[in-house]
This record gives sequence, C-alpha cells and structure tokens, in this order.
Amino acid sequence: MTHPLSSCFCSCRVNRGGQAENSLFSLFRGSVHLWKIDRMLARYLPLLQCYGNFMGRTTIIARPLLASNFSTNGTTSQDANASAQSEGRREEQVSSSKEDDVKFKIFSAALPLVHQLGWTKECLEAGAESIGFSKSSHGIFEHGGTSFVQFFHRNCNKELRKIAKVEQIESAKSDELTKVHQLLEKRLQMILPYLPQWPQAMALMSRPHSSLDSYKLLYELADDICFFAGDRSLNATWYTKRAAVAGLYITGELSLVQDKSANCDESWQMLARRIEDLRKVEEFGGSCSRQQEILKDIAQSSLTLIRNLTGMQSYQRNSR
Amino acid sequence: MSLRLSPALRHLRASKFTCNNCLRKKHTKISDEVHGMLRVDHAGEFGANRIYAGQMAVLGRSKSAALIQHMWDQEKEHKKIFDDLMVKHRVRPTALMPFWHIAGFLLGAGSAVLGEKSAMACTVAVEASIVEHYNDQLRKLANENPEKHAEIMAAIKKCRDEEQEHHDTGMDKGAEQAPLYKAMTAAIKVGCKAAIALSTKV
Ligand SMILES: [Fe+2]
Ligand SMILES: [Fe+2]
Repeated sequence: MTHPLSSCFCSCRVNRGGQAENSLFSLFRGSVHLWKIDRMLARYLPLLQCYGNFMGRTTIIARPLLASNFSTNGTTSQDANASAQSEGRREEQVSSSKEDDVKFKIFSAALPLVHQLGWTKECLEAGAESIGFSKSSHGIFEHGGTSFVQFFHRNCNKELRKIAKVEQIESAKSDELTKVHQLLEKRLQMILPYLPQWPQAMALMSRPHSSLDSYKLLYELADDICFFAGDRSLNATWYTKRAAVAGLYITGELSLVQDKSANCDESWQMLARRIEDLRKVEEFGGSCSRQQEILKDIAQSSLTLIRNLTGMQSYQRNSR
Repeated sequence: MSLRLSPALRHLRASKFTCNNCLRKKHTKISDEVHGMLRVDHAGEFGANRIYAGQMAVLGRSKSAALIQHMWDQEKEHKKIFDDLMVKHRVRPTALMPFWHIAGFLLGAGSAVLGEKSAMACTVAVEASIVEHYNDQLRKLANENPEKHAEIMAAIKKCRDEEQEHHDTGMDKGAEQAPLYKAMTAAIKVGCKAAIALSTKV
C-alpha cells in the first residue's frame, strides 16, 4: 500500500526542489508501513513533509532573489528609530495608536505605487509624500520594505478574519476541508493584484532578520484558517493541521508566482488537488483507529503477563 | 492623488468587531500568561485521564475498579471544562500532548502493576502536586484581575476541590502502605513539577 501523501507534495508543479528533498520523501514512504500502526504518528507525517516543503521551497526561491539585491539600506530608518527611542518609552506607548494610524495612511498610499516601485523604501517615501507627510516619516517602518510586506500580510490576515466570520455563518454545513480550501483561495486571491512584485515580497519575508515575524504571520494565518474552518482539535492534530495549511499557503504562493496560465488556473487546480490529498489522509487516519484498539489489547495483555512474571499478584495477595 | 484602498483593505476601517481574536463582539482577550495557565491545566487534566486509563487497564477487574472509574469520570469532566475554555480563548495546546498520552498511561499502568496501594500512592502524589499548582494559579489570577478571570477561576476551583477529594480517597485506601511510598511519591512529584514547567511553555 502506498501512502496517500506520497504524491501530495512531490508532484507539485513548482517542485524543482532538487533531489535531496525527493529522496527524503521516499525515505518517509518506506517507513510509513511502520508508522501506520498508530494514528498519532501517521499524523506527524504531513507535519514533517510540510516543514520540509516550506523550508526547502522558500530557500530555493529566495536565494537567487536575494542575490539580485533588492536593497533596503536601513541607515535613515535606523536613525529615525534611535531618535524615537530617546523620546522615552512611555510617550511611545501613548502615541502608538497615532503612529499606527500614520503607518496605515502611508501604507495605503504607497500600495498603489508598488507596481512601479516595488516593495521598497522608495515606494514608502513616495507614498508618504503623496499624502503630505515628510519624506523621512517612513522611518516608522523599521525595516523599510520588509515592514511594508509584513504590514500588508497583517492586514490581509485581518481581512480574512472578517471574511471568515461571514463565511462561517453562510456555509455552516460544508465540511472543514472545504472551508479550508475556500479560505485559502480567498487569502491567495488577495496577493493577485501584486503578483508581478510578489517574488520580491517573498524574498523580503524570508530574510534572516524578518523570518521570525514572517513565521508569526504565517502561523497567525494558518491558525485563523483552521479556527474559522471549524477545527476544535486539542491534540497533535492541532499542529499537523496548521502545518498543512501553512504549507499549502506557501505552495500556493510559489505556484502563483510562476503561473503562466490564464487566470492562474493551474495554481487553483493544484490547490484543489492538494486539498483532495489531505482528504485522503483524513480517511487514512480514520482507518488507523481500529489498529490502535488492537494495540491497546496487546498492551493490556502484556501488562498482565508482566504482573504474573514478576510475582506482583502474590505480593498483592499477601498484603491484603 | 486620491487615497485608493486595495480590495484586501477596503473594509479595514469600518470594524464591526471588537475582539480581534475571535471576532465576537464582547470578548476580553486574555494575556499570554493566562494562555499558558490554560495550556498546562488542559495538559494536566489530559494526563490525569491517561493515568486513570492506565490504572483501569491493569486494575479493571479488581475491587477498587469502581472507585478508580469514579475518579476517572470526574477527570473526564475536568478535561471537558478545559477543552471548552481552550477553544473559547483559542489557546494553543501543548506540543507534548502525544508524549503525555503515552507517559500518563505508562505511569498509571506502571503504578497499578505494583498493586492497588501503589496505584493509590501514585494518585496521591499526582493530586497533591496538582492541588498545589492550582492554588498557585488561583492566587496569581486573584492578584491580577479576579473579575476578568472569574470563569477560569471558577473552573480551577471546581477541579481543585475534586483533586483534593481524589488525594484524600487515595490516602484512605492505604496509599502510605505501598512499597517504597516515600521514594515513589517524591519521584512522581518531581515529574509533575517538570511536566508543569514544560507544558506551560512548549
Ligand atoms: Fe482533574
Ligand atoms: Fe484528579
């Protein structure tokens, strides 16, 4: 029996991920016969695969892009930061909502300019100028372009939450994976207007100094999608589901970026296929629960055996 | 130049929902520390369930089966309470759930293999450290904001009282007469402390 996941990410169109990754997958495929005795362990497989998927893919695509040097020279922003810090922490807290407001204004003004200027500090500057702020006010975005992309992600996540809230009421009857599919599609559609500039955004997100925040945003996204799709699991499944969704999102992003078909049809089809693969894993997990019961029986009888062997029965009898 | 919002941002300004986390209208977001408390309590009740499951697997046909089953049923209820709180506040469960799944069962079954009294000694040790842990939490929550955390505090109080009951029943059933009672309880208490520290964070 081959594992349903064996085709899951390997057949992905964007996988030019090199042979190391593939041989890793075949290793999993081989060991899966050992793993399927326990549903819990089987559920770890997508986690590992998604992790490998995420790590492998981002570095592959990010490397050439990083080399092509989208410069965000942070000297001016750092200066602005230092002066802001010297003003005192308490004052900063009071004005944080005002600062957020300014950020939001600059950000929204800069967004239409992304097509010409990319996710750069220059774009933020132009945005700030267009609504009458001074050129240096971009300093509130600590890392220039990176903050820009992160701000965009954060707002898309917020937007998705609002969509999800409505969606949850409307499609209350559809199952969890269908909802996950819908929400993922909605979220991926949000980046469509910026597709030509998106490789740059992905490269910025995978930079070392921003990767922690990027992971947080990705986690936030995956957590929201799972929560609003109706996931209420409180065990290891909680992690595997979120990892799977995060992996799907990243795969979707990478696929969209390279998609040359009309309306990005190929990417949406790819996403649908991945969702079907996950559905198979769900069923696969279900069929393991019987084996788990058998496992429990074996454990029980072996415990009785140990008791008899070690003479604990007689100890109990004597102590009564 | 006119301020044009992308479709992704169009509704951002007209925010109907007050709680950013779950989009309920009235929902006070609890702090990360309280998240950690719920996480460890949930893991603890799950572990307790597994301990009793392990004990029942071995002592299912002994004379104390009914008593253990009764305590197990109460633990199931505890877990249900914390399940609901976890979902309500969207708390991440601990990543060590699979580990507690196995470790709890082994602890329960392992102690039960040594006899009914040892099983009771295990219960006493676990419940003693859990009662202490719950009292610590109650103190912290009461100091911080008793009104805001009223629901969580009520849940913890209910569980704490029943854990105390379990502890006392264990004592009544002769836990102290178990072989190596002192060494065993000390070891289990250390294990519980470590488990609590781990499950809060991880
Ligand atoms: Fe309990
Ligand atoms: Fe208990």
